[in-house]
Amino acid sequence: MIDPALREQALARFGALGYPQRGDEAFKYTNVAPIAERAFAPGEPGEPRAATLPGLEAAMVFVNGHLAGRGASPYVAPLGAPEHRALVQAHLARVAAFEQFVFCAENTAKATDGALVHVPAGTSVEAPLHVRFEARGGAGYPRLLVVAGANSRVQVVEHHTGEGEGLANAVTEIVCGPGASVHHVVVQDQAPSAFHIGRVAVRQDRDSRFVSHHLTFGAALSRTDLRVCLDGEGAECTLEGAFALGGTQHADNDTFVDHAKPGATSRELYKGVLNGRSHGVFTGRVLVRPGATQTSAQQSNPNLLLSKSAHVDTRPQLEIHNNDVKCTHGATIGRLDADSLFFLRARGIDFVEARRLLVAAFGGEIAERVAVPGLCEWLYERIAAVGGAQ
Amino acid sequence: MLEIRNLHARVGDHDILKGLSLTVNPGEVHAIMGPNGSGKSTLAHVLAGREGYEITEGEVVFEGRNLLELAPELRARAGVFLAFQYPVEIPGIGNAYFLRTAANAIRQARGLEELDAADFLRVMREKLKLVKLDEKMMQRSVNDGFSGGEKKRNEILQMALLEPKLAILDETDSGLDIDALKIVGDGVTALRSPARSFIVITHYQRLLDHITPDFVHVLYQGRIVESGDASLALELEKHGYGWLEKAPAR
Ligand SMILES: Nc1ncnc2c1ncn2[C@@H]1O[C@H](COP(=O)(O)OP(=O)(O)OP(=O)(O)O)[C@@H](O)[C@H]1O
Ligand SMILES: [Mg+2]
Repeated sequence: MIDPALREQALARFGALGYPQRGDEAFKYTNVAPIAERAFAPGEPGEPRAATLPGLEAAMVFVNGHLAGRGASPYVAPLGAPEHRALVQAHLARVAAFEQFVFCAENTAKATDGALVHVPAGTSVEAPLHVRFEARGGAGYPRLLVVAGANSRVQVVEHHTGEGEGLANAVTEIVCGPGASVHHVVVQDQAPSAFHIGRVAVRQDRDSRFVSHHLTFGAALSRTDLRVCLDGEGAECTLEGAFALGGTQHADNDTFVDHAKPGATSRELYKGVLNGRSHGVFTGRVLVRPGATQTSAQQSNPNLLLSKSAHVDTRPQLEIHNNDVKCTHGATIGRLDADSLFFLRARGIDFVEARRLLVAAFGGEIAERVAVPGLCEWLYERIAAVGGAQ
Repeated sequence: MLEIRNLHARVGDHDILKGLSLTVNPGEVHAIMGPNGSGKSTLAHVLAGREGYEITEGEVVFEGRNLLELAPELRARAGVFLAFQYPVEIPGIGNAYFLRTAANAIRQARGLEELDAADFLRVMREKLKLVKLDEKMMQRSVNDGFSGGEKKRNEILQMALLEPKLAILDETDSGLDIDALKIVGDGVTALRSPARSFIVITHYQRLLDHITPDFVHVLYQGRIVESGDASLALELEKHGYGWLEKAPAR
């Protein structure tokens, strides 16, 4: 599946880079020492047993990164399928370059199986394509490659779930051909004691449209990197996410939009809801290169803290290298509005339910825009549930 | 029904209510008037259970229960309703969904069956006629982008749906045009019953033209300094509150 020479290189980089240490700016608010300390052994293959997300049918299921089941979709194949060899070689580990990223290098060195979503030019795939990755303890290295041909259209829903205290280190690469439209959804719903590392790397050709919805509910410690390279004129991306945390969870969402070509648009909206003693991190880096004139970039990260001990760090990072740019950004950290809470309670709605409604009002829009009937409602309730916890 | 005895309330070190007493019997309508800042909204908030007020003295008994120790939602379920002077806008919560959640919370407390979406729609349509609000507004977020008058009519709609025993209307008439004033007045009149009482806080006689109060009280500097029948409101309309400066507080 992955070329042996490439694996060698990746393994060497993994060894040379080592896990991020204190003082690593990219991991300023996230300490991954607990992952390094545990030195997870590779996870075993197994039978699928997690529930399928509402409104979806799984096209492929992996257990600890091992292929464990597949449906009938003609657009989804194992990464190692001989008939797709050329396509995979052309893109794998090229969109998600691993030279600087230790977890990505480790995944590239150790991934066992993976899924390929390939949509031929001009094809519109109606039903969402759904891939589930189950973690069962030990380390798994989920790998997904999406290649959307010119003017094609597809929605891909990635679900990370599982049991136990293992590590999932996932890498997804997405290639949007000219004029292609890709809607990518990630639902990170790992077990409460699990660790999750994710990298989604996207390359967009001209006039393509990429929409991402990234929902973080699970894992004790998670870090997700989403990198989008707007590598063609007129490309557009919308990156939306919600992290709904409680207990002692820690979730770090790091996004990077690279405006490499003129006339591209990026919109970003991440919403955090934090209860208990949870800690959320959002980094929104936007790079506008010298030649990327007529760029429009928007970014917003509102956060809602439900408890005194919950905490969020948010940092917009804009690097703009030309003058022909429209750029806005804003981050807020707020608490529930006391007037709204009193208003609802004065109508007989109990405190917990009122808080649940207000959390849904704050974060629910992200779930609604996932646009999969059944799944939207489920995600909406999951976000609201952080407010509904006692 | 409601017995307020020597109520003292403060915010921080600012005394607002300074020995307020008031008795409301079933079926009675009490109007409370008084200059800006005299403590009318504070009284309404304290009765509904808003946080931030310290009760330093006195008691409030509602149908035999100590109202002050109940959470706001329990007061609402016991039958206390406050129509807010400034209704809150809550983007992201649909008005109809909010109304049904509230109605069902109250119904449950009364041992009634919850209304499903279809049943609720029927009840809501009935009540919408009373306040002449368009059903389309119910699909919007709670009070979000509603005009001042629409917000106030939405408060009356909530009152009609929740069927309280004691309704406190805090300046529900301010900001209303003449037609809306009549709608609110008629809405309240339609809900009057021998078992339901009202405390109507207002600055103007014009609402009282529609709702004839049994008693009118003047609240001044945190105390009720004058009580009378409906004619007192007319007196106040004529003479204003200047005389209060000279009158000894009772
Ligand atoms: N949270 C608060 N903090 C400080 N002062 C307050 C607070 N709430 C009310 N007050 C003060 O208490 C006094 C009474 O306020 P209240 O809102 O009860 O008056 P009101 O009679 O309703 O006036 P209006 O007719 O203008 O509505 C005012 O002087 C007000 O500034
Ligand atoms: Mg007031």
